Amino acid sequence: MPDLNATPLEIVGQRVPQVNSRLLVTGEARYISDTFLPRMLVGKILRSPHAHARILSVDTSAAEAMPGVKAVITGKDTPGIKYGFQQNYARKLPLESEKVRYIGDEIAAVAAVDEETAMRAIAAIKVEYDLLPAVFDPLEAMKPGAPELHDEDTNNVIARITSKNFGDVDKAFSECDHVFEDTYKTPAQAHVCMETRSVVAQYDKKGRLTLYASTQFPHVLRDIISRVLDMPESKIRIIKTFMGGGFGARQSIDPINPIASLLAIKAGRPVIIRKTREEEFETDRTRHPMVITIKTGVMSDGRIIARHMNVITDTGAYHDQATAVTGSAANKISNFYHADHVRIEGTVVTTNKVFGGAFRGYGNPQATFAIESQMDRIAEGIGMDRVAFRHLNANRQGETTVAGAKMVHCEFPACIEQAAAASNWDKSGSTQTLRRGTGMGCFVHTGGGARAAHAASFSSTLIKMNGDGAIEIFTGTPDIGQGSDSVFAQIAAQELGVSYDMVNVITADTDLTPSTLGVRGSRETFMQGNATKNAAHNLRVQIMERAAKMLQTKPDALDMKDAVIFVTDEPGRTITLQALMAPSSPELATAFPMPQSIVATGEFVDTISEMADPKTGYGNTCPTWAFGAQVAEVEVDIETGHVEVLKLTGAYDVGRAINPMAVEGQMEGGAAQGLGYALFEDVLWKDGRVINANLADYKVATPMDMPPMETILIETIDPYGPFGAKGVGEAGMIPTAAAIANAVYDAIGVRIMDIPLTPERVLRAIKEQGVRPLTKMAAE
Amino acid sequence: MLPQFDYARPDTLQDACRLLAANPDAARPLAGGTDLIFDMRLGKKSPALVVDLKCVPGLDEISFDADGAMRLGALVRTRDIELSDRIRQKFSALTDAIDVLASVQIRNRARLGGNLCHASPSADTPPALIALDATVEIAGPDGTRSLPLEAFFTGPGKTVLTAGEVLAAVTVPPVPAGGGSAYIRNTVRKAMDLAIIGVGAMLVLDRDGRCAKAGIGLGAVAPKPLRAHDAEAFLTGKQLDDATIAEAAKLARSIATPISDVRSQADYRADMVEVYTRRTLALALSRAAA
Amino acid sequence: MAKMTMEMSVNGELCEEEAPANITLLDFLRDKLGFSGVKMGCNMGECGACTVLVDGVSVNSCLMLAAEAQGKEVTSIEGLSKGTTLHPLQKAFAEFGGAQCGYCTPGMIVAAKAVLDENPDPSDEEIRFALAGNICRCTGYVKIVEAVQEAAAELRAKGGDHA
Repeated sequence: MPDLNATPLEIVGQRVPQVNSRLLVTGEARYISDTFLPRMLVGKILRSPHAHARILSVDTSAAEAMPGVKAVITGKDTPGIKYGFQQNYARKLPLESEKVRYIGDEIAAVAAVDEETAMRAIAAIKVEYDLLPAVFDPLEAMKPGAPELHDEDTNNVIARITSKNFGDVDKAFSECDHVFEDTYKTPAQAHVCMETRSVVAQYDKKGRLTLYASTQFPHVLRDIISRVLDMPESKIRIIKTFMGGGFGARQSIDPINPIASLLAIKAGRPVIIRKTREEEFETDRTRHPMVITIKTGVMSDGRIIARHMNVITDTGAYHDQATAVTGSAANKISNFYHADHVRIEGTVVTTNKVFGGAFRGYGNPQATFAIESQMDRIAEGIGMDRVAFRHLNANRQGETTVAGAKMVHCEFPACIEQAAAASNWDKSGSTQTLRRGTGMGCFVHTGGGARAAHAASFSSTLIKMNGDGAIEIFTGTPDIGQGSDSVFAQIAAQELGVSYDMVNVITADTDLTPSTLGVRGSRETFMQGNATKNAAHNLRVQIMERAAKMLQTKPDALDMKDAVIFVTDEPGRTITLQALMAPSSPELATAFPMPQSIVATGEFVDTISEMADPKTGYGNTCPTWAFGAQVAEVEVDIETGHVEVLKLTGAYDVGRAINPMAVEGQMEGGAAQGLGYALFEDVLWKDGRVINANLADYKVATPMDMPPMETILIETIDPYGPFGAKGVGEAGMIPTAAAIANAVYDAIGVRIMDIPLTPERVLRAIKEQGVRPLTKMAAE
Repeated sequence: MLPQFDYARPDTLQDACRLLAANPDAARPLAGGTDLIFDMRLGKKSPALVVDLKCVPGLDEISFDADGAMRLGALVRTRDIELSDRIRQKFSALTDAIDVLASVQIRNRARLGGNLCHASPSADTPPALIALDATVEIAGPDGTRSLPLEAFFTGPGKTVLTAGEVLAAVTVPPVPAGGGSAYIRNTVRKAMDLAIIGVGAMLVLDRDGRCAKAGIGLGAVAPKPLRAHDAEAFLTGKQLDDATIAEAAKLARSIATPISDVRSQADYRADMVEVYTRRTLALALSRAAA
Repeated sequence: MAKMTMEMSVNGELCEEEAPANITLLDFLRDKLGFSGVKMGCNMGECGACTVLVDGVSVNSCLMLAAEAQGKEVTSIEGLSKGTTLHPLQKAFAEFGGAQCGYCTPGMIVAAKAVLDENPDPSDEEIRFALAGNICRCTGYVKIVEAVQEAAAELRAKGGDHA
């Protein structure tokens, strides 16, 4: 494959501002809570105060009698249909009537004229509970005799991912020179979208339900609401407003959506529900905590030969995407670095806590923490340089992994080389108290969606071009802040030879925009970008065919720029787009100077990837793979345990960056979440109650907490991506925790097997393991 | 949701005290609001009457007397303390504490008196002011009274203020030449956190370099901010070096009774009292020697 | 609880509305006066999304009563642009990737204005310190600091901010 460097084109490859940036910076962008409909009511939810209990009775009479209360609903007001993102494990009802399984589980809801009345009404609902014993730790939950959450499950095991075996793992381990086995633990991480989850539901006199929702999946949301409310899809419209963050949280079809819908239907008035920040922490999805055991066998020359990974995922009280996330995590040992013998196992366990969902990286941050921590352990164990060890085993372009992943485009070695070269590995700045260290964390992740959870991956879009050259793109893809609108606008503008500011992007309205799967798996640039390019191409074909007739030449003799079509070899022979679209006779054109518009659709069906074989797990499940390496330089205060990150460097294999500024923004923002995951983000529970349900005690990075960051984009053309681009939305988050943990080990010789590396955890480990003495070289 | 309340804006101190005395359980004074509104939203406080003190004249002045003693009106904005070069120079511990107090937005509203009266065991200003030997001036319906700051606090969220009394001012004796002060705290993040522990220290050296006076305040290691009298007494009269400072730190640790809570475990806090007392004393010493 | 007539100047216009005493400045601006650009992120003064200027200094409007802002001058994000002409900070945030989802952006820009009003030539460190109370979950802050620096340079060249 020729190494085609992606030199910037006129629009694709340029650092253009986001399409709607002027609306964002002026406060004019409307988010859900800025949606005001006439006679709109405020909805509030009654949630279980108990981690595990049977519901004996629910008495809503006092609430219903309260002035200002316009609707009260309980489980009996719902069709009683359970749902979940993965239908096999659908266990959640919008309102529970038999049993509650975590503190926060939804029981009843009211819609009232204002927030105060709604809250008083909630307080007036009387529920009788029969308390049940609860279990909070997944390993405890798997033991016989543990309290069981769901009748369908035994020992709280809701799912197992199919055990996969490639090669001959046991024989391979026995032939390895060295075998390493470790167990790592990762916490629940909260998304902390700056806008708490909200929805406005409106049920009109045509019997149509409209939801203004924060959603990464408008079409999937429509499908699930249709199922849960037993309403035809055609009666449901999902409109995504501007959205204050997604990060995977907004893939989940949270109960507030069907609840608001039912309240709106019952009250006959629109209803808004907004979670408070506390409610968001207590009841919204989190990253799944995992316990990961990984065993790796290597030869003395550094080659990885055999790997075995066992993942135990704590899904909390219900199942949203835990099984797919577990698969995504566990599969990493089959496609992250080269190995010929791989065994993968995974178990998903329920506990009486808030349940997990998709979160940037989708199991990969957990897996990468484990894999990359162990890579350093192995390198040290066999006496090999950590960077060289990674470079040796890194995937190479053209390789097909033992599980069938095809690395058609791969710059992994370059990422390792460039991140390492841009970093400082010299620890001579260490003092007795402040020890310096440097560590690397790498990753592989999908660059265009993954087939794990769905049989087909497709995207479609519609483009309309007007006489003055203005373009509207109708795309189902929600821009959640990642900049997808601009990517599509740049692609269309480049393809159609118009300036970027002539493009308007209309998104994520199920009445207007074609179906698409949605924002997940870093897929939109690749999938919807390709669909957009195809639509633009189809539009161009239509234009050129018409123009060729008017100019009496062949379509391929023509080019187009700024709404003028011209003969390439005779630029003086032109026709304007306006003229092309005008009525055919000059008389009509004068009488009705109203240009038509030209419309084209384009789709992209992913035929490159495939579903994994259900028995063996073999298959190329992603159309393209993205790689990267981060290096963290840290300073550890051995008296307090504080880890200060001095610099974070990342080199990323992104194919072509359609908008380098936006790509950097994704890497920088991802790294900030990764740094939080590494150092201080942790949802804390006591007896099932979230005890740090606020922004003071659940800590995300402030401007003061972020170190200087260097972002290196390695841009060579991916053969299948639009203009050679790969998806990058999740990448920045994935390896940061490992890079920092490895740097801490390099600094003090203390290996910590669980994150976050809070000062207390680090100091405890220092006390238990002792600090590596300051070497003479470092002290000089 | 904030509870329902009536709002009063008296323009004299007497009126303010009268309103508060007349409604002892139902009225609360409002200074900057960053604690009161916060507590009302959490349902921790539900006053029927909020008495806004910001129109009472004379409560928001920063003044220095001829000897350099500082008087801070209770309604002095913490931000104004932050911006005062003189306070930064002469009473560094207080500025250190204010610098890390939440955010600029909070400091633009939060008043020193409100911060003290909220009486959070982990507040930053008390350890710094205690180390600086501060005194509080309390105004009530029957007149005024003064006491050392460390005696002002009686427990988490509790002070000696009785119905109708307001904190009027904080006075701080001058830190003489040869003196320096500092406040350092342990937090997880670099901003926006509450202190896991905090230590304020003031040291005055005599001409021989011996410690003439020492002040040490500890925060977040007891139900209220503490003064480490024994550690101070130990240092007084001695040459200060690593060993004496380390011993003083041990003495400070011995009076701490930290708890485990969502922010930290008791044993970590206990360890950190010692580490941070050492470090804060060292910083105060370097400033004193400069 | 009595209703009060709250009077204040907002974005240069005198506003007068009846509201209960317990309404925060945030809710007053959004719900009574329609300035929906001011955002609620936490309602507890911990994220800065609700930042407005009151008499020129930045505050968390969620921790201030509207009653306390009576007679004062309030500036929200809506007050920074004139028609379609953007304030240099808004322009810089748009051009340099300072906004991704945009939810923290109004509060961030208003807080940044307060920084530059006080210190027209700040270091990156000083910007981060002054914006410590504004949380962004999307950007990692790199391009926010860059945008503030760009705007600062433009404002210095213009001889100051007359907004």
